Amino acid sequence: MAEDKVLQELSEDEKIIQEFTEKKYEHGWATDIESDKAPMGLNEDIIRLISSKKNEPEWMLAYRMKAYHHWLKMAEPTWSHVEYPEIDFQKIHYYSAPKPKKKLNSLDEVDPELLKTFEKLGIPLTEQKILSGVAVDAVIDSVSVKTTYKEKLGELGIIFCSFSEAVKDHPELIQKYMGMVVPHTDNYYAALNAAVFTDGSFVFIPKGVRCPMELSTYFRINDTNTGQFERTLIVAEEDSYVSYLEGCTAPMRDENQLHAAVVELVAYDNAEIKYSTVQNWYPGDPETGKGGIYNFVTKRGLCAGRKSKISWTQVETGSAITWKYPSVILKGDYSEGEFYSVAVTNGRQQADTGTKMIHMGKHTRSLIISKGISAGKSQNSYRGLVRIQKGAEHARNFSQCDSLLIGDKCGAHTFPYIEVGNPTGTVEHEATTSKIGEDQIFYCQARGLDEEKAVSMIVNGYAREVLNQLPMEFAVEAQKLLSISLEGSVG
Amino acid sequence: MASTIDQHKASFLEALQTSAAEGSSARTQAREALETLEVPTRKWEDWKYTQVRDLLKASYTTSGLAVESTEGFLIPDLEGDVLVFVNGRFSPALSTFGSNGDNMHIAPMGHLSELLSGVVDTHLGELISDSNIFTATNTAYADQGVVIFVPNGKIAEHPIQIIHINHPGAEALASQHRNLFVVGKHAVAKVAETYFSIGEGTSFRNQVDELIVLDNGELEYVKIENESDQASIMGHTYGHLGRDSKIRMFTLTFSGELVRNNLHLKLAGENVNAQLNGVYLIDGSQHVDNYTKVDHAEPHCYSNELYKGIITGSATGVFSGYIHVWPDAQKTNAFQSNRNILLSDNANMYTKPQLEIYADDVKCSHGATTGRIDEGAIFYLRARGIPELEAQKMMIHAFTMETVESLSMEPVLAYIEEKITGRF
Repeated sequence: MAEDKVLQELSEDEKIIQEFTEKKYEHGWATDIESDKAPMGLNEDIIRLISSKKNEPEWMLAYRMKAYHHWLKMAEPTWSHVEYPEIDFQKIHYYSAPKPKKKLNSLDEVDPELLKTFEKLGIPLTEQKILSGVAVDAVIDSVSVKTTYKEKLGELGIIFCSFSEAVKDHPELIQKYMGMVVPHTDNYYAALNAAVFTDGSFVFIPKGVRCPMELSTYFRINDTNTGQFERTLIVAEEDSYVSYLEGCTAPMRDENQLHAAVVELVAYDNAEIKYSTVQNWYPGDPETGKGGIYNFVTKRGLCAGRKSKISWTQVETGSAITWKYPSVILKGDYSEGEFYSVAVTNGRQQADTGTKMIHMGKHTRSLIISKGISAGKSQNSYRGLVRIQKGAEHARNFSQCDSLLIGDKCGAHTFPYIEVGNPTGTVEHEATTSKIGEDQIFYCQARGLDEEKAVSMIVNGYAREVLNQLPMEFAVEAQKLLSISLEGSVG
Repeated sequence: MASTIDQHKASFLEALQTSAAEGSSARTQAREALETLEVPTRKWEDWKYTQVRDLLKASYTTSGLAVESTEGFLIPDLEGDVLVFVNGRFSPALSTFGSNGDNMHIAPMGHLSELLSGVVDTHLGELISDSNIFTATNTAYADQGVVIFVPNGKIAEHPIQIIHINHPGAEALASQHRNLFVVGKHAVAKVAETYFSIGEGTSFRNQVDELIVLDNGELEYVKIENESDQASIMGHTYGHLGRDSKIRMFTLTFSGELVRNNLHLKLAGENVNAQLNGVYLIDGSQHVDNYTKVDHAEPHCYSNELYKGIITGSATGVFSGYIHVWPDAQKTNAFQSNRNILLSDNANMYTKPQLEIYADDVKCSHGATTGRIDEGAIFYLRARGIPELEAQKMMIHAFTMETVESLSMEPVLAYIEEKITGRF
């Protein structure tokens, strides 16, 4: 009898796992927008084409060329704990833009197809002004289509615009800050990005200004075979504050799409930048892993000033491969870096993500909270570096990286590197790996919850520490994403 | 660049190409492998923090100065076999062995009985899964070492003491050592291996240990590395543990210009219990790298690692702990902890724990801390009239002795305690 029950429960579990694994991508669809595409492949001409399409000044082209030539000399990195077929960099379109844009004054002028896309994504751009008070710089593929609230922000001296506009309107700022944190020589994908980036966002918060609203950009990859190469640059001058949201979903695809973005943050004395990401790109076919997005991103912040603070929060549920390490260089004395992450992998997804905290200044502090959840046949790795340099007196770090395993075909891995070169520093690291406790589930069930709800509750509790860091507008979406991803995934 | 490394490799091999012992297929294979094996560089993930190139640059000799007695080198009150190796070569005059009678077959290489020769032929090189230039050189050419075989059901009560004394002359001394321990089913063995050097000469030791513990067997293996600041050790220890077996390992490192202790255990049966502890107390420009890998290949196993370090001067400590849980190794309990205290401004510590887990019903954790001595505690002690240095000693004692508690050889425990207390 007891045995029967166990068997029955087992098959029940299997069924649920299967259901979960077979869950189709909710945001999968494609939009019909005629796009303006560069020919496949990468060479000097393509870079010139991208540059001229964007009417860029000469110095920008020179920068791209410098990066391209450096990229040619570099080898593709292979050290990550992920597997994927070799990428043919000559089989990617490096430029694709929605129809040539004319200057738009109101939302009515935006292509109705685009507006529909946003509606499906759940971003009511038309209602945005009234309802949420969030200024949105919406990027579809590679060209910025519409920026709202710009004027209002302009009154405060805040610059929030697409990268290409910034190149035109604020060349002195771009020349000063671009490549300051992530130089074009930094790594293979950063070099590639510097050569071929098409657009992105630029934020500049002047001295003493506290940005009154959450700045947000929705990225969407929207055209077959287009690599998306974004560049985001946020500069916070002395005593300023900004919170920036980045969220992504992408349509269902058959071919892998490479996404190699670069994000640079610079914070001066007493400035604070909060950068939040919810990533839900197409994870690929659950059985074969085919078709998902490759998300190879370089994100780095520089706490340049005294008492500056940079905080990264990420909820990673999508992409076939996630390979990124949002990092903070703590250069200013008393500066602070934070990293909060929830990474959920399912099906054939692979994630190799974590952070780097480089302590250079005195009394610098960093906090790392990473929660990995792996289900299906996925592999989820945390890789992080905490380095206390010689001069970083009284530096402090606490790291915690926990992994939760759901199902017996997945893997959870941690690769933390801890380098301490100063005796006054204190570094603590903890990592645990476990599955959801049967006793926890039993406890919930005994109180009338079904197994699925119990798991959802436990996982949400498990990730709460991170979800709490998200701005309100995002927290709701992230929680929804988590419960969709984990529905029925009982271990 | 590559060619200079090749040259180093060649001169290193030349020094260690001794007359070479009994040729088995493992030795022949290792010799062939040496043709292509490369010297590890810091670009290799597993050697990221340790530069071995300089080790190979020196030109070595295999003969050193004489050592007349073992006075001061013996662990007090530890009764049992004593095997002494002087400058890497077995010294019959200083050694006595056979105290376990029929319960243990033991002999140094070169003096093997037929039975032990058979053990060597069957098992030598069997466990080396990740051959590198050091292990291959050892397999190919090491003609010195200790072979132990404890038959099924036998309990070797008397511990074995293996003492290495190096007395290098003007020229740098190189030596190789190979241990092969086979502990039978339901058998028990205990080994304490100590390393010393006389004088200030440079030396380099390339050692490989293979430990095979069969079902229900038990092995306790202690290493105390206490050579001079000019001595380097490249140690590789491989263990293969059968069902229900138990192993306790302890590695204590006091000194050494460059010490690398590679420890690779495979838990190859169910319900294995493995306790791996280590302490390093280093100073000056010493560099000590403990690399451990625990392979959980079967379900229901338990492993616990605890490594603690005190680093001062401009010394560098490295700890890499790799735990690999295989897909079917359910109900695994694997724990790892690395705690370090830095006493000086120029001390460095690199810690790299690494968990790779492919099974879901497991409990794994690792923790790492690096910091300095708790000032509050020092203040407390000083407020009660204990001088600062004394207080620091007390703290270090309390901090490190936790790792020793699991050892069963009392005299060894007392010896370690005395050594640790006298270190700083």
